[in-house]
Amino acid sequence: MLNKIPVLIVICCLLLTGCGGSKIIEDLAILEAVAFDHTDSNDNPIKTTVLYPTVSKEGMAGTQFLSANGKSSHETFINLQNLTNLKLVGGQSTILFGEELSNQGLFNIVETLSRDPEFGTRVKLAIVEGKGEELLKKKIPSIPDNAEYLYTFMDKLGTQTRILNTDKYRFLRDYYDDGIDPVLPVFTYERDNIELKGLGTFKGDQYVSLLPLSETHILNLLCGNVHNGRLMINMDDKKTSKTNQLFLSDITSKNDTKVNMRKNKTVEFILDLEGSVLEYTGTLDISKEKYQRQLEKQIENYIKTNSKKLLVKLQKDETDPIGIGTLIRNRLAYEKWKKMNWNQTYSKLNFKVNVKVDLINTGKSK
Amino acid sequence: MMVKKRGNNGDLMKERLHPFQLSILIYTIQNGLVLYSLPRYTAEYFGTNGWISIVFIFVLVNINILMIAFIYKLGKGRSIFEIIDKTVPKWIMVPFYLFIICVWIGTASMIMRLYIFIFKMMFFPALPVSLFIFFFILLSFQMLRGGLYKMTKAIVVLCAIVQPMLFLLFYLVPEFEFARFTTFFFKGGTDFFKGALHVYTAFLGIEVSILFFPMVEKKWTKALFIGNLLTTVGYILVTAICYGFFSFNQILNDLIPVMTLFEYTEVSFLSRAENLCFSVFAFKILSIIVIYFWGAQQFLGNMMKKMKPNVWIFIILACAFLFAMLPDSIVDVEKWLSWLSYCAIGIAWALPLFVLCILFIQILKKLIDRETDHAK
Repeated sequence: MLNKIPVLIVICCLLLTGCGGSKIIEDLAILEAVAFDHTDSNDNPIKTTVLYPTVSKEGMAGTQFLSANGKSSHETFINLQNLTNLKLVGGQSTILFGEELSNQGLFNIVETLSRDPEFGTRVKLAIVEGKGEELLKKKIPSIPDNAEYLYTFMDKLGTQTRILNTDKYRFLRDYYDDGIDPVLPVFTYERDNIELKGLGTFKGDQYVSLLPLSETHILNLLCGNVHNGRLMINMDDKKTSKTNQLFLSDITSKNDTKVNMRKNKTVEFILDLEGSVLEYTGTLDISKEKYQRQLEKQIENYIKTNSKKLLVKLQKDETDPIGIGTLIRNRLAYEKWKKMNWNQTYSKLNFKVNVKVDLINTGKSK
Repeated sequence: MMVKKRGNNGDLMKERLHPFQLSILIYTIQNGLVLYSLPRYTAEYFGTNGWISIVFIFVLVNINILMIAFIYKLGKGRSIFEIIDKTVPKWIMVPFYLFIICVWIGTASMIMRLYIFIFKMMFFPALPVSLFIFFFILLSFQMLRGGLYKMTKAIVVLCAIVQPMLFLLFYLVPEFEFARFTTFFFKGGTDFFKGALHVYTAFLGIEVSILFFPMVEKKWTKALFIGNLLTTVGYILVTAICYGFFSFNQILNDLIPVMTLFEYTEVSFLSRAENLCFSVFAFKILSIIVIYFWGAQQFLGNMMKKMKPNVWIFIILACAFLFAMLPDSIVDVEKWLSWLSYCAIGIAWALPLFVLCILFIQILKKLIDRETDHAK
């Protein structure tokens, strides 16, 4: 009997804990999206816009925006608190960075976010061409909630294309790694819709170059093995001086990288690609094996030349989203790696790309 | 008959712990809270691929266990108090006993407080600390009253609740990359000795097993090795996954990398699993602190045999409560905990060494006595 009383007390006390620190959902503004932008003011260089869902008394769901300026990201949050009767809390949200702010560097903001346990590691990050605030505030009739739209959009991108699968954890991981640079998707609101523009690559924490979607897909092939990928190819036809389109679907590619650090420092990418053709606007009769082989050669050439172009572009911008640094680091002794001037070495690297394409099928029609 | 008197209640001695229960007990009482920061400690002090250092420390811990096993064998199952009391007068030992009691209670309180601090920081920033401490103390009281046998049974059940969390690690495999391990070994680290001490603290708790002698079945010592092996495998698994999941500098910049690791797991029915993991982990923390309290209780009980065991439990828990209320920041707790843990490591090595020395003296004495008998 004696034993039961303390047990009862414990159970009662445990139930009581529910009363402490309660969060009532009606009193909360759960942030769905946050946009950070650079402002021209010297005093308050950061502008934060938040978007959270609201429910009216009639039960209508909607969204609300708030914007505030401040010296640091958290100061803007404090200022935002003064603009609403609700308590702002972070959630599994999307975080957008304006282009200008991204060019200056994002580390301070991302680091603050990782200090705050409210923001999870899977928070999605993206760059906005122009102002992040504008994108959140853009009214698009078919999209009731821009934040939710963006989140599911990025979720979809992540499952389709490996390199577009970005979040806070991946950004920080690649930022801290000395052999790779982070990447983030870039969105634009110029036209009628919120649109994916391409991939932004970083040097350290600064956004340096935008890769359009065609280059993003090539980069995806260079970054590692790909399953179920897609590639749209524009090939110039010398005979007719027209451009032919070819759509390669269900791509499975294996990527092997070889590093030679002797005299001519060379990095060689060996791609082994399989895929099926779902669209071809050229003149070859691709139902015949002979022409299929010819087409394979053309695709190989396309990927080869475009990969080299991309690699040179990345080299010029001193950004390494592929992780070539990691490959080289793992070949060298520690002291040699630490002594190495990476930017100099990277700019002098030679690249070789070997591609082998196998067309598995050419679709349903002959 | 002497053996039967010791312990909480006389009847406990009838049932002895099975080696299987014991290995689970050993596994559970090793200081798992350190695991949450272990990747950072190994990276900070050992540098790249610091997780391998766990293997070296594992060997050291095994030597420590070997000493305890030797004592059991040479002492023929007598408790260490019997061994010591036979040769050394009790009053000499009292200050040492008191020191051990203080260190153990202190360590337990600090582990509890650090857990509460992290828990508060992550999940309930507004709740009062004293409430958390009170719960731990109350639950400890319940477990301590049962004595070692019942405690172990409870701990085995608690362990069964904590362990399934390890399976969540499988969800992180897609993010794992061997390239992040780097090909460098122990480069960029600063202090191997300090690092070894830090990693060793993750194995602490096992030294209390030196008091188990009267309550265990014969051939129990293998349970110590099995329990320790389980701990090591768990530690290496989690730490190695961290090294392939995070980049090296990221580990250095994360206070609690394993928390972030679990935070990243997302299953269709569960996201941000660190919340669940860390809450369930309270049971492991409870086991760790209870075993230290129990150890302290044994020492106190031996010093003054006339007192009722419940009185000691009250005194220990009251001290623990006060101790735990002292520090007021994570840095404070970590400082206290690291000093107390160093002392605990000292005890873990010095106590068995001391008892072994006494045993050798006793054996030598016996031999000399026998020879003089023969001479006569």
